[in-house]
Amino acid sequence: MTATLLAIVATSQFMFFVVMFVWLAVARIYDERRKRRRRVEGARLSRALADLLGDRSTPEQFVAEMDGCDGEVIVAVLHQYAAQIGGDPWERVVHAVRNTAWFDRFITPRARSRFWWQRLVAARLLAIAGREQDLPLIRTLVRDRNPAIKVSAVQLLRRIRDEEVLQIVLDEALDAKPVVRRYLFDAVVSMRRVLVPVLAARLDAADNVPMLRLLITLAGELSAVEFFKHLHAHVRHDDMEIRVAVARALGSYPHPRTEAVLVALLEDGEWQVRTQAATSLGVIRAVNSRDALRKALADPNWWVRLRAAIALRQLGWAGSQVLRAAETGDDRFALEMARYVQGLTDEAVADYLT
Amino acid sequence: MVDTVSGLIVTADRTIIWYFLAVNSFYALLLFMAVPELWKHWKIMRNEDLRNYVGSNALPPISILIPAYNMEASITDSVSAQLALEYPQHEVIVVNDGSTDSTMQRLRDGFDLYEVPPAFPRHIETRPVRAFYRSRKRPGLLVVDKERGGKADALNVALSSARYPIVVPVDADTIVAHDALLRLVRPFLLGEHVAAAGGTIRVANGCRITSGRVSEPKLPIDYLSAIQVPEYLRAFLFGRLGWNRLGGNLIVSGAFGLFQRHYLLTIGGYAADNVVEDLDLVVRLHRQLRLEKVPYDIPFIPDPVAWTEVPSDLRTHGRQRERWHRGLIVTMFAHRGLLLNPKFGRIGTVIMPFFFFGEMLAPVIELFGYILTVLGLLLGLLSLEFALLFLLVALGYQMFLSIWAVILEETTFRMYGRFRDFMRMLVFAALEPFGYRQITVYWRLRGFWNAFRGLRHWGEMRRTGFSPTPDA
Repeated sequence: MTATLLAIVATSQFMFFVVMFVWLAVARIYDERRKRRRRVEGARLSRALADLLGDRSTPEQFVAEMDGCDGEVIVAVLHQYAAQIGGDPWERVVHAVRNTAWFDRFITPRARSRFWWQRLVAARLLAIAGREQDLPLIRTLVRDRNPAIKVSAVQLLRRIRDEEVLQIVLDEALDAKPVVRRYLFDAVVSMRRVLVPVLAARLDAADNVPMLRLLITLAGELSAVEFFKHLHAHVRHDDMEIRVAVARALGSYPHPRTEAVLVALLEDGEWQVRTQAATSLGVIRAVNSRDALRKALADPNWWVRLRAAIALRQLGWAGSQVLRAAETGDDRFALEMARYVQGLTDEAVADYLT
Repeated sequence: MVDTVSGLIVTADRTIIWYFLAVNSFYALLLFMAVPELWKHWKIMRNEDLRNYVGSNALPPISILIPAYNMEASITDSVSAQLALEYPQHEVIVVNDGSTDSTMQRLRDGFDLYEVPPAFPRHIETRPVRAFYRSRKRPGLLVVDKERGGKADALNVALSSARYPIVVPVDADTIVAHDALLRLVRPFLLGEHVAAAGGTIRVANGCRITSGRVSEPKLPIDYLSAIQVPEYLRAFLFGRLGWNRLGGNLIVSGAFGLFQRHYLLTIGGYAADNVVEDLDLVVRLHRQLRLEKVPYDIPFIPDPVAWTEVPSDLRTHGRQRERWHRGLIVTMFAHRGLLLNPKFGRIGTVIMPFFFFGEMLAPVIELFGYILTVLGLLLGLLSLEFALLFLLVALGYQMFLSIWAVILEETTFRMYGRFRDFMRMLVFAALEPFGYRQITVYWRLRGFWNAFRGLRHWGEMRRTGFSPTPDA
């Protein structure tokens, strides 16, 4: 019984390995040939695209070259060029590609596929070659469960402005993980003119804390002066993290009233807010805030003292005067911190700021 | 009496066969689970725009931690290679762990170092730090000079000194592929709750190395190094990948892995008294995050690659395997509270039991299997067919799995371009269970002996080093 079993197992394994080996050898040969063919196709298409961009050929000639090429090769070549060329020359290419029957044939089934990798390919192509008529598909892909698809699809906003996609992105950003959110933000920041009024309206209307914090962060990154009054409205928000976010956002651009607001935040009851306010004052080089920063040198919290001292270092000569005075003063906290920060090299201070 | 003894031998041998059937079937399950994972990463890999990632500030900044002890020959090349990795924002922290050669001087001369004040809070107790240095040539470099305290101690200093939220410990003699960091952070892009992530370690012996990078992967010429290639493929390509779907990885290689810095600080960093600090670290990480009920993932990503030199002489290889197994035993005993403890979810009920019964005890059971089978044959208690069945289940099954690992490599990454290398890998995968495996059983058993003796040292690791091959 055992011998028969062993013989069956051994024979079937042997057969299996023979078949497997033949299959692998054939697959390797086929794969090498396919790669070679794709390389040739890619080079041909790349030359055609270069000719089109250099006005040495017409869009029709380029489209003719596309015929018969593998879809993946076309996408790869388009991506390669899209990374290097932008503006009108690229839009000419997009116009040529978008109007081919191939594009619809390639995109529509993939964008609606139940397989995420197919949707990913569609999102990637739409991001570089999509037009206004593709916005409904993009809206669906931006809402996709798969973050990689979301991130790819949203890149379209770098070329085409659409408020509806923007609103979707802002909603999606709330639940996205930090890196994904960062990508989404990077994409929407490029459509600043559309984004500023949308964001301002949302800043006024937002009633949930996480969303508000997110919007304030984004507003800070845009450094748009239009946001000041919308940010100022949240300076006394009940949630500490909102106040920290406001202090951080205010540090991203100078405004005549920014300094005063940040000085006020230096008196906040929470040390995290005071720390951020001190940091922001240093970032915007608020020379007139040196008295407030001198006071913060004696703050009961170490981080506030450190950030205030570093902010004073950033103010240049005026700030150094304050630190020197603190080094000979009576307050032990201020004295120690001033000595510590004065002893740091410029490189070490830069370390704290990065 | 004779009947009782012979009955015992037959029963024990049958139990051992069932044991190997269960363990190897579990590996087959891992292989089965690895296929969709590999498919997922393969598909993303083909469609991700690494160029866009480099140009974006979305990715979290990374601190690369390099502990260095007596690495004068390679330290400047190694640090330069890590600084040149493609990534939007990363720093390199080199900790000179009390080297007795000129490692520190090489760093000083090579990177024009200047001393900076210790502007880092001390999060973990370590051996005293002598000085911190930054480079005038390379702003992303921090060098820490400290007294000798071992690899874990050096890593703890690096951990405390890191500025960025993600840390990637790398061995000084490991060659990290130029785009490996971009690939390693993929789980962040996929929105996972990443606590740590591991990349693939491949065998660098025999490869063509140009300017500190592997320019042409080749299979090593010598038998011992080459036979480790399918072994590494099996361990990484489906061993660890399969765990992604079975509750996460218990090992993130110390030679190349990624961690959330604050989690490591929470658990007190690396344990200086464990010879496999990477395994111990990940087990403690699991324990802590489970206890705190923090949602987390510790995935393995197959395509970021780091190349390492494997021992090419039997003595060094033996020391390495003995140390790995000793570390596994110490870690299993140190964290025995997790074993079969449902409070820790799959870690307690699946992963730890597998490592305990399927990995730690395997050499003991295998040795018993050999002894009992030979004894049974000699005494006429077992038939030849039964002995062959034992070999088929214990060794043949493993050979089958190793061949599958080579096939997975061939159908996906195909890192070794030459058909000859593929053929040789298949041959080595087939040969591995005969001779090589028994040698590793011996070393692993020595690991038991040394663990019970309480041995804590690493043993000397002799490396021949990478000799750069000029372009033909």
